[in-house]
Amino acid sequence: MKDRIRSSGPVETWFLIFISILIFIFFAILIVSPALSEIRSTSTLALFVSGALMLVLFVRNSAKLLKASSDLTKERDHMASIFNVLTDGIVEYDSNNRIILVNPKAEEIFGVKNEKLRGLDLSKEENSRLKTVYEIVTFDSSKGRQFIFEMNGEKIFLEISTASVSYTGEKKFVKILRDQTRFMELQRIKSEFISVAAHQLRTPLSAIKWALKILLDGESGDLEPSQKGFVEKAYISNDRMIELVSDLLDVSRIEEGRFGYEFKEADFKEVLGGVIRSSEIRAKERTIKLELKEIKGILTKFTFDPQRIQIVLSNLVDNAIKYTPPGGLVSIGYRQNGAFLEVSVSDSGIGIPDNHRRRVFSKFFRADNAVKFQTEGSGLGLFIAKNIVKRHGGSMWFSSELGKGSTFYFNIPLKKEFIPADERPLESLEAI
Amino acid sequence: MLLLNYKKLLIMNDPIEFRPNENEFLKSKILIIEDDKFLRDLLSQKLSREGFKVTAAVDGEEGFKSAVEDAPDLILLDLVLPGIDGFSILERIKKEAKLSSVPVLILSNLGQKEDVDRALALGAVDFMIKANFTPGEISERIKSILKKKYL
Repeated sequence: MKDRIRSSGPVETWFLIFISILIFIFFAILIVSPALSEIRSTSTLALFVSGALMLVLFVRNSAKLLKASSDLTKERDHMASIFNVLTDGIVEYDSNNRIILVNPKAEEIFGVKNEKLRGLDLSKEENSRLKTVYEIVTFDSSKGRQFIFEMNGEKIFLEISTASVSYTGEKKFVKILRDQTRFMELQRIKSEFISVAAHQLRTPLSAIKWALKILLDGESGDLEPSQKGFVEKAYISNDRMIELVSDLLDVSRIEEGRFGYEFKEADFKEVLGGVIRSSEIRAKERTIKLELKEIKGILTKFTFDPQRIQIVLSNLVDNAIKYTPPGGLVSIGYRQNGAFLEVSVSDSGIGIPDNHRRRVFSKFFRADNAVKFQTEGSGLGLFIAKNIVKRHGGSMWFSSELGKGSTFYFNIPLKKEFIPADERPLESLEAI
Repeated sequence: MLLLNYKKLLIMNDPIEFRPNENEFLKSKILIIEDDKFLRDLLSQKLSREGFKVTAAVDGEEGFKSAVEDAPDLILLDLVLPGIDGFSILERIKKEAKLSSVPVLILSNLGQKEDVDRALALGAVDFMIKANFTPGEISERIKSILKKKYL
């Protein structure tokens, strides 16, 4: 916009007009001055010329100015029309949280007009809609971008990001509001579909399980050893399918924010002990050494969801055993790190290829070498584990070297104050 | 069965020595409310073989009627049923004076935490996910519930 104004150059032209006025006045004085009558005719000519020049310049410049101002208007309308059709809501406000500008999408989200909001001190408003606007303006998007509120009995899901802009020497802020309500609705329908499908799958799977078990137990007559072998394999495969269905159900509930947690004081040491005991058989089968590196004197009784943390631990230990060649070592350790309990599960396994690092916690993802090494696996275990840890207010990460082994870490807070207050549906990026 | 009856007679005739026999529960009446025919048959057969007296119902309405007519010692209840769902039946059972003390073991393929919590809050004694247990394991659980009831 600035470039356009400069190219019309009205300042320079005004200077020329000023000069021509000076020339005009100079010759006008020459004409009226009786002492200089001999050059009067030349002066008259010069007067006309400078007068004409002045006129031309003036008209040209006025036209240019007119054009520049109409260009500015055009530019403004151009920007405004784009601003008005943005499908993201935009709210601009100053450091006192007073609204400067709201685009139509944001008006639509708030259900309040721009004119009503401008300059309002929202912190003192009692109206529920204005309160919502205030909550959005003061929303700290560095801690999480999801903001849920209710309007006309409908739940609205917003993804909020904050940016700062500065012009005329003052710093202003902009909140960009992405309406994710439809996305969340689709997500919910998808989860519901998985949930219904999984429940429907469970009935025939139960029938297969029960019938095979009756065959295996010889309750409908003895089986030949070779027949028994087949039935056993079928029974195990069926159980794997049941497990997969159960993982799918867990995933759909996690996505909906309806997994349901029960935080209570429990002993982490006991939960871990249980997991190690039940993993020992599998480790032995694969001739893998299972080792617990215990650091004494750590407070292990604190508030967490023991049932869910057990899932996390057994997923990590199972993976470590599964992806470590026979003769290897799986080592489990935990220590206190500040306000957190940090747990590590390391193995001397196949490791994670560099190009797959980013997707390790994505659902259904399995690294190429993992698929080659072990055909079984749903790719849901780490997704579930990471989300359980996250719900506790902790995080999960890993280090890995291809062909040498991986170490998975997670931490969970030792104080219950650090556990997030409520379970929420996953945000768009987390749900991948 | 004969042996059990005999034992019971002995106990009845000897009041000083009276103590609940630990196998007493094996004659118990079990009511299965399950809409899937195959599952219902497999379970009925298994429990009959274990010595229980088994009655079965296809839906909640029929199950409830049967329970009121002849109160069972334990009810195995599915949750997803045609017509009235298992939760409502459970509620009705617990409200019915004649049945309120009958333990109800939920046997369903629902099983998310909220389903389990809801069933237990309505007075179910336990919750088993069909796909996660074998008929043998279900029978064991029934025995342990009845054992507690008789002791």
